Amino acid sequence: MNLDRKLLIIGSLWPSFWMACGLSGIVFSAIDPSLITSQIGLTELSHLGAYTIGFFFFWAVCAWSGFFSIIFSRKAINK
Amino acid sequence: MSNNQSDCSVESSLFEKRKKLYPREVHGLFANLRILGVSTLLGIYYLLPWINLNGRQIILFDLPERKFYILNWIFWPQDFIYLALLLICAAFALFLFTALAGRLWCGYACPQTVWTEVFLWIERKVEGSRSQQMKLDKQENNPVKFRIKAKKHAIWAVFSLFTGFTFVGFFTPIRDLAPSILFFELGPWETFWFLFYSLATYGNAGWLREQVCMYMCPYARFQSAMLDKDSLVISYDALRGDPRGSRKKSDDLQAKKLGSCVDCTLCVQVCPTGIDIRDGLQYQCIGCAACIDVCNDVMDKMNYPRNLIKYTTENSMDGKETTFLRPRILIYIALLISILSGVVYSVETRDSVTLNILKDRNSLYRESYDGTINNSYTIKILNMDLVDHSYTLSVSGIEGISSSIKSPIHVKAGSIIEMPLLLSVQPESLQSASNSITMNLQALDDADTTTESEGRFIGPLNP
Ligand code: SF4
Ligand code: SF4
Repeated sequence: MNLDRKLLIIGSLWPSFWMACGLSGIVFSAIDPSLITSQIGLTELSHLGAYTIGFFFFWAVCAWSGFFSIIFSRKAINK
Repeated sequence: MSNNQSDCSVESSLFEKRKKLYPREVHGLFANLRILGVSTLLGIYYLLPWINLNGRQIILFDLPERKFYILNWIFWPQDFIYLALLLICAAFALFLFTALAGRLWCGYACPQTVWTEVFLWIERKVEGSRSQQMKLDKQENNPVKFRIKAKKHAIWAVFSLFTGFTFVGFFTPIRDLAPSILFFELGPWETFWFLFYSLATYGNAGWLREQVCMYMCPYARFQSAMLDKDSLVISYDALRGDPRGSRKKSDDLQAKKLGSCVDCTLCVQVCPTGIDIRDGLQYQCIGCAACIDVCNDVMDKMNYPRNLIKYTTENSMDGKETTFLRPRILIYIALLISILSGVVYSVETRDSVTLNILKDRNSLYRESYDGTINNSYTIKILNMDLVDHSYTLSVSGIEGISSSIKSPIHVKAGSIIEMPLLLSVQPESLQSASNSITMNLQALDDADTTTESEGRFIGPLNP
């Protein structure tokens, strides 16, 4: 795998993992995620399942933003 | 080293194909200290969930119930601030130790180091010494090599699975978890986290190892900002060691124009990140002190004084004095002590019961046939104590106010109850349309367990 791609993957997945841990702690202490999952029809989902989905949701959102930050900053540097 | 330089070197080394490192086994004072650190921390991790206190796991993060049990305390979602403060304390402790002793955390206590150490130990037990491992890896694939490798990975996998199981045991009572794993009755989400954490352990400690420290660890990137000229670092004494070169024990160093370093490269061979400490301070150095131990052995064999590689400070290398108690250290200590004592004090003195009053929104008030004015509410009582309690509820603020709740109210330890409440007053007692009232909840068995809540009682506009 070339350097660019390796840095892109590590750079977007790794910091966002820590952000997701922090966000889950803060958000889920205020809101019970199973209230949200039951609102959107996932009534069968266990509590642990709701927390897990919430965590991965945060991770995905942060990784997405990190991914674009890297792409855009690279474009800016290359210009 | 400037940040730019280090970033460039990180990028260029990421570009290279990773060369597998075979850190040589090392014995000595610091190796023993590391074994002590590793076994204490692993002992805590693996044993803690099995310890019960008052019939309950001593540490349990009960997500479904939204309660964290830590020692004798129960933390509720509203206590998140305490956990946040404890995390801030942990960060300050890390700053303090880094400023004092450099990468003490990395070398002795970081989970990455701790688990890698165990994986390396397993690898040595199965594949043999550093040279045996290198020889084995050079061999063409053959049944013996396959058997040895399969054995190593099988032991790594079992160890990782046990680690993943313990991790889930911090969230689901571990004594129930063990049989459900044995009988394949684990819930889907528990199974997911069990496998996720096992895989993370296997990948990080078995495969990635020093790469986590070099490319992925945020602390490694910013720790240089916390070091100063008085922080302990591991360093090679170039003045004494150079010029390097091989020699016989009996050689006259002055005649041969040699320093104390025999250029045996053992310090490089033991280094878990594969660097040469003789090239100066490098960000890759995790401060494990393996090179100190091995070099001291060499010095002993040569009958030279020890500590060619040693813990030192930049100031002492420059011939200046080292001050340990400098302003930043004192500030860190003061902050740490004040936050920590604040947290302990406030956790110890926080109310062990809370009372919430919700006014019924459907009607402001109701008048009964005998002229009494009634307001209805829902009350929530949360018993945060570790024992059950019975409470009496009293209402004050308006003369002659009477409540529909017949005391005592029984609430189990760590539980919440919700009940309707109807308050009634005679119209002549009302001073205005909206009156403030106070509800007091008092435990029958403990005078200190009490709480108060304010509410409003609504009556007609012209009472
Ligand atoms: S272990 Fe000591 S003597 Fe050997 S190369 Fe390293 S610094 Fe020199
Ligand atoms: S240079 Fe020495 S202290 Fe630093 S990581 Fe390598 S062996 Fe450990």
